[in-house]
Amino acid sequence: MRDRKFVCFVLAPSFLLLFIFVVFPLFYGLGISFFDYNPARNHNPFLGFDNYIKMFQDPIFKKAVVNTFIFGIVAVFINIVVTLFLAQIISVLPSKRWKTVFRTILFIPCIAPMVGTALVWNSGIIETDGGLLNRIAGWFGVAPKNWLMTTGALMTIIIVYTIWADLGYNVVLFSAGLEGVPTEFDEAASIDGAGPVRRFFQIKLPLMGRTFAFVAIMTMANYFQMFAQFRVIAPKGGVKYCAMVLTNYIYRQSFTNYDMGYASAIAMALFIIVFAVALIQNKMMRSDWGYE
Amino acid sequence: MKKTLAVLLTLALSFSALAGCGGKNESTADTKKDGEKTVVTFWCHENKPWIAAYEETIERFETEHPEYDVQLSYYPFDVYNQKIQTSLTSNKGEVDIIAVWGGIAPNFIETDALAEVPDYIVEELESDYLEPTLGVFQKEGKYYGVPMEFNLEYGGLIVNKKLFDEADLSYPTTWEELREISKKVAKRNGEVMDMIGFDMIDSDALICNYLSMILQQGGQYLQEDNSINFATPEGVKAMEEVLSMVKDGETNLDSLTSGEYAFNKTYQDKGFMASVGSWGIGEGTGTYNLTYGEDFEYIPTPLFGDEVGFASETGWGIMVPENSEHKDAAWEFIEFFSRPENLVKHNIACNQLPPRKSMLTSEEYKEAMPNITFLLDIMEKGQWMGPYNTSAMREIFNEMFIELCQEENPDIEAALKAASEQITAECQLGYSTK
Repeated sequence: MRDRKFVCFVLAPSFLLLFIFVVFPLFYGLGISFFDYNPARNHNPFLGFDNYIKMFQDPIFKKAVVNTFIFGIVAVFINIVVTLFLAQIISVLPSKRWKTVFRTILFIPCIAPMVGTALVWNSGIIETDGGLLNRIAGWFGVAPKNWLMTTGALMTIIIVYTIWADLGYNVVLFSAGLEGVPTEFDEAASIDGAGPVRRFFQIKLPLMGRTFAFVAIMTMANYFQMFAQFRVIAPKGGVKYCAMVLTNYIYRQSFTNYDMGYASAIAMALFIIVFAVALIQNKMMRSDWGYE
Repeated sequence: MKKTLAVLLTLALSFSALAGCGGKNESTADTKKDGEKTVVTFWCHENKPWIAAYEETIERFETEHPEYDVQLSYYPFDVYNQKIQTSLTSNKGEVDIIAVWGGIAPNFIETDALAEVPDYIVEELESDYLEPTLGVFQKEGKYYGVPMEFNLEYGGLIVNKKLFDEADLSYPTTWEELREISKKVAKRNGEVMDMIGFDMIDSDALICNYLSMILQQGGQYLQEDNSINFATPEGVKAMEEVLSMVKDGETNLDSLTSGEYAFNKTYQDKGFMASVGSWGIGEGTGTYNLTYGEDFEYIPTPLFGDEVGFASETGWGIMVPENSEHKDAAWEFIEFFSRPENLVKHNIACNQLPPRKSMLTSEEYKEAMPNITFLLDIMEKGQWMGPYNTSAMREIFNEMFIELCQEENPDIEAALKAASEQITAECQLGYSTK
C-alpha cells in the first residue's frame, strides 16, 4: 500500500506535465475551434460547427490534406527503405570503429536544427541563381530553373531534404534492432544455404518486427507533423499550394490571418488524421512474441 | 535513500513545471516607478537606422520630460507581430507603446486590445495628416494608431549608376524609354537573369506599381461599394504590360518567389533599375555600403499613363495597448514624437516620407533628403489603397500573377476578375473605417 502511494507520488509530476502541456491544450484547442477566436478580443462569437464546415469547403485545406498524405507516405516509405538498407550495410562492417564512424556521419544532420539546415538548402542548394542544383543541371547542359516555381519537383526536394536531415535517427534505431536479433538464427540459415539477401528478408526483418513497428509508427506520426522545412522552403505553400501541408496551413491561419478558431479546427483534423494513421499502423504491425 | 532522492527529484520537477505557469509578469516590476521616474516601454522591430532614430527621439523626450524613462526593446520582424499578439492577450500589459506596420495593424485594431487615440491627437490627425496614412487606423470613426510615415512603394527607381555609365545610357524619363533600356540591357539564361533590366516583380512593389498603372490611365480599381475590380480595360492593359516584362526576358519571378526585394539585384550589380519606396536608399548605403551618387541613384518612375496617380497603403504607425499601465505617459510620448519638428528628424533618419501635410514643405526635410523631394510633389495626388488587409491582398494578387506567367496564352481578364472577387470576399477589413 505504501509502495503504491510512493509510485503515485513519483508519477504525479509526469502526469501533471502531461495534463498541462498535452491534454489541456488538446481540449482547449477543441473548444477554440467552435469560436471566431482571437485572444486579444473581449468578445469571441460562438460559431458552432462553422469552422468545420468552412474547412471542408476550403480548397487549400483539401490540397493540404492530400499533400500531407503524399509527403507522409512517400517520405516515410523512402526513409524506412534507405535507413534499413544503411543499417544493414553498417551492421555487416567488420570493424566496430567503422560502424561508429558511419553512424556518426549519418547522425550529424539530426543534431543540426531543421530551420538552419533548411535555410542552407534554400539559399545554397535550390536557389535559382548559383544554387548547387542548378550548377549540377548546368554540367548536363540543362538551363537553370527556379525550383520554387515548380510543383512536383519542389515537393520532391522537400522530401529529399527531410530524408537527408532525418536519416541518422532511424539508422541508429534499425542498427540496434538488427543487433538485437540473436545470431543463432542467422547462422542456422547460413548453414542451411540461405544467401545474405534471403537471410535479411526472411530471418532478420521478421525478427525485428517490434523495432520496425516502432520506427514506422513514430516516423509516420512525426512526418505528418513536419513544419520547419515547409515554412522555410515554401512558406506560402509554393505554386498552386503544391507544397502546402496541414502544419504550415495551421501556422498561416494562426499567425498570418490571426484566425485562431479556424486554425484550431484544422489542428483537430490533423490530430484525428495522425491518431487514425497511428492506430491503423499499430494494428497492422502488432507483434506479440519474443525470441525465447 | 533511493526513495528520498526520488521524492526530491519529484518535487524539483513539479516546481519547475509549475514555475513556467506562474502568473507574475517580470516586466511589471520594470514598468513601475524606478525612483522618481515612470518607466514607459516601447517596442519596435529590428532595423538599425530606425532604432537609432527612436533612441534620439526618446532622448529628446526624456530631456523635456525628466519624469519619464522610455525603454526601447526591439525584436526581429519575423517574430515581432506574434510577440505583439501575445502581449495584447495578457491581462497586465508588458508594453506601453508599439510600432506597428499598417499591413498588419488591422489584425490588432479589430480586437478591443488597443487604446483609442485621445482627442488632442485626433484633432491633429484630422487636420494635418494625408488620407492614406490614416486608412486602417480608423475604426468606426475612432482612431487607434498614429502614423509615423507616408508609405509609398511606388514613385522611385533605384538605378545602378555604374552600369548605366558603363553602358553609356541616360536614365529613362518616359515609360517607353524605360522599357527600351530594360529590353536592351537584360540578359537571360534559362530562368536565371544574368542581367535584369527593370524590375518591379517582388511581393511589395508588384501590386503597388500595378495599381498606379491603372490609376495613371484614368482608371480605378476601387468601386463605390469598396469592392475591387481589376478586370477593367485599364487593369487588363496594365497587367499585359507587366506580364510582358517577364515574357520579354527583362526580369524573372525570382524575387517574388524567394521573398526578396527586387532592388537587391540592382545593388548587387545584377540589375539596372528596380522600383522601391524611398526607404530602399537606406538599404543601399547601409546594408550594401554603397555610395549614393557614385554607385546608385534614386530617380522618379516614369508615368505609364497621362496623369499622376498611385495607391498608397497605410504605413508604420504607433499604438498604445489597452492593457498598458501607463497610457497617459504613452500618449504624451506619441504626441511629442508626432510634432513636426520631431517627426521630421525621425523621417529623415529612416528615409521615410512625412505623413503630415504641413511637412511637405519642410525645408529641413528637403535639405536633408534632396534625392527624394520629387516624391513630396506627388504625395497629395495619391489615394488610399482601400479598406483591405493589404498583406492578404498581396498574397492573392501575387499568386495570380505567378500563374499568369506560367501559362502560354493566359486569359488575363478572367484571372483579374477571379482575383478581384477573391480579394473582395476575403481581404476586406473586419471593421468599418468610417
